[in-house]
Amino acid sequence: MQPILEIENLKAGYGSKVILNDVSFKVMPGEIRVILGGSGCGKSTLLNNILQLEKPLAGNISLFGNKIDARTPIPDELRKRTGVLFQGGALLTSLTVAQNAALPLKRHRPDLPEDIVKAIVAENLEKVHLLHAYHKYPSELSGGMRKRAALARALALNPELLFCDEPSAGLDPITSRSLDELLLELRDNLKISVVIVTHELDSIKTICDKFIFLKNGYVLLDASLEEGLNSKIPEIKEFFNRENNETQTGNNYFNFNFL
Amino acid sequence: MSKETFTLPLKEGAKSALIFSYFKKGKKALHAKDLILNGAKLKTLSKDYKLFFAAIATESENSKHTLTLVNFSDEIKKELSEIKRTDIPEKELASEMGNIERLGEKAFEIFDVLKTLLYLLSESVYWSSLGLFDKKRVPFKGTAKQLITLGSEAAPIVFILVFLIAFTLALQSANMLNTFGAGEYLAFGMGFLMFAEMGPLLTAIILAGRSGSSITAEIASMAVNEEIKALRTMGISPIQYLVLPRFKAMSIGVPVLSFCASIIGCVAGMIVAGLFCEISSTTYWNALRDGLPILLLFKSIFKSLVFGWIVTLIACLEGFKVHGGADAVGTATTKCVVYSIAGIILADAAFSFIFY
Repeated sequence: MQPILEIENLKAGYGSKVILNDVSFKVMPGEIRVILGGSGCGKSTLLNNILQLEKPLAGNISLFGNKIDARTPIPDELRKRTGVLFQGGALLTSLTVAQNAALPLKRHRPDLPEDIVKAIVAENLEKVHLLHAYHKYPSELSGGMRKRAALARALALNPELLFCDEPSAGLDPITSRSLDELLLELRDNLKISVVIVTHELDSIKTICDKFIFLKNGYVLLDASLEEGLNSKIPEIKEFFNRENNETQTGNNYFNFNFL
Repeated sequence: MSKETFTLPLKEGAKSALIFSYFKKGKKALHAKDLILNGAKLKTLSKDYKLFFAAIATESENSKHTLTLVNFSDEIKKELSEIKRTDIPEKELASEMGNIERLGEKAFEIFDVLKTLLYLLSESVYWSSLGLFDKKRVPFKGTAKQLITLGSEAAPIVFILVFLIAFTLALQSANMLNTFGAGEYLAFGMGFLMFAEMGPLLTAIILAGRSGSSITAEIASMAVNEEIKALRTMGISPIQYLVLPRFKAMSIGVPVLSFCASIIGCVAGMIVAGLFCEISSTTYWNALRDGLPILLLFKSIFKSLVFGWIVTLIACLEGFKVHGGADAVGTATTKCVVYSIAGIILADAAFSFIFY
């Protein structure tokens, strides 16, 4: 089976500062692939490079079997097959939930009549259980609702691959859990592959099929959840057995090694 | 992991140049081997040393090799453990540059900004003209809304301020002209002053403060909330979606406001002429009509159009450049107003050379 997303020897960073080195992994159809690692290890940089929000320094990215040229934007025909859910939802605050959810359709399917667009938007809002917020503005929604609205927007073009940047961040455990269930539901019903950047252990244990663990810009482990849970690698062991999120995922202070 | 090590002894009281040479040596070493920093002679931790430790720790985190600190006193160990990542100003980490190099770097920065402004201008002009027939064009609406927000809503403040300034200028000119018995020239003087200079200039400066800052704040907030990233991932060009409606609105709004403001300035002059120079309104308007060349009106409109572009493009650029949190929005807004006014005044000086 052909991978939906394939990253080969990706090197990324800003100017002379290299953040990711030699990162390689694949995402197969219907798979939920989690990107793990401590703060500052390059998870978001990896996502930004895959989405071409930043240009990789070296390496190859293939989407649906097509190699992406780093010098040009992702072609529309490939972009249409992906959806992105940002950490805070990133809904346009000047537009209603429905207008937000209709944006990708307006961009990629301008030929669609208005009533069809409305029907697709309503169907997607129904999928994320947010039809009642059709006419609301993002400022009138809670954090969880905003993320579900953003998910409806990401689903507008029936994507085959969904990218999620810390979907559970800032949500209470119940809302976080319901968002995880929603992602699983979408994967099972719509056969969408999902790439998720997250820190949330509960979330990882619920949804993860395979993960990569990044450390200092390198892939420390590329494995299934089960392999990760049984791993003897100290960092991985520490990550999955942690009790305190902050101390294990890196904090705001430097960790000097004194002798 | 390599067993090879490089040991770097650190001197007490080292000056910033020496500390920077430590950083360069340490950074180079970390590419190939493990690094050991010997702090046996260190008694205090200066600000430069703190910066050095933060920078070298960051380097080691990005390297496959390890960093070890040996022979450090307990006080220094405590101080080191209190250095926050957020305490490191990124630019200072590589501040070995001399004044000439800094000047060069600034020049490149300015060149980059000008390049980006030209890119924004060319894209905006293209999508508002030839791009209308381009298949890649996405027909997003919003120009009318922006015209109301950036233009119509700014009209009262523009008109009031221009009226008051023109009134003051006319009053002072009338006194002077009356001294020389040349009060009848007030009409021509006010007309020329308003259309050639004050109308476009004042309108643009007021709009830079009012509409320019609002454009920057809006786009910067969107950048902070990842809305611009979201647009890009949907394949929506932020230029077409955000810059274009504002560019079109300002291209219409600023010349119209400037023209109206110039007329309002002339009205202020007429009131002063009636009160202090005993010139009737009919004589005043006739003098204006006969004295002002029609070409001046076109120059005035063109000038205000360019001023409008300067405000819009600088405002959009400052908004797009924002990274980080809410405080960055405030800084960007301030920069937008300062740079826009500077840009307007520079362009005005250039126009004075070209036109008059």
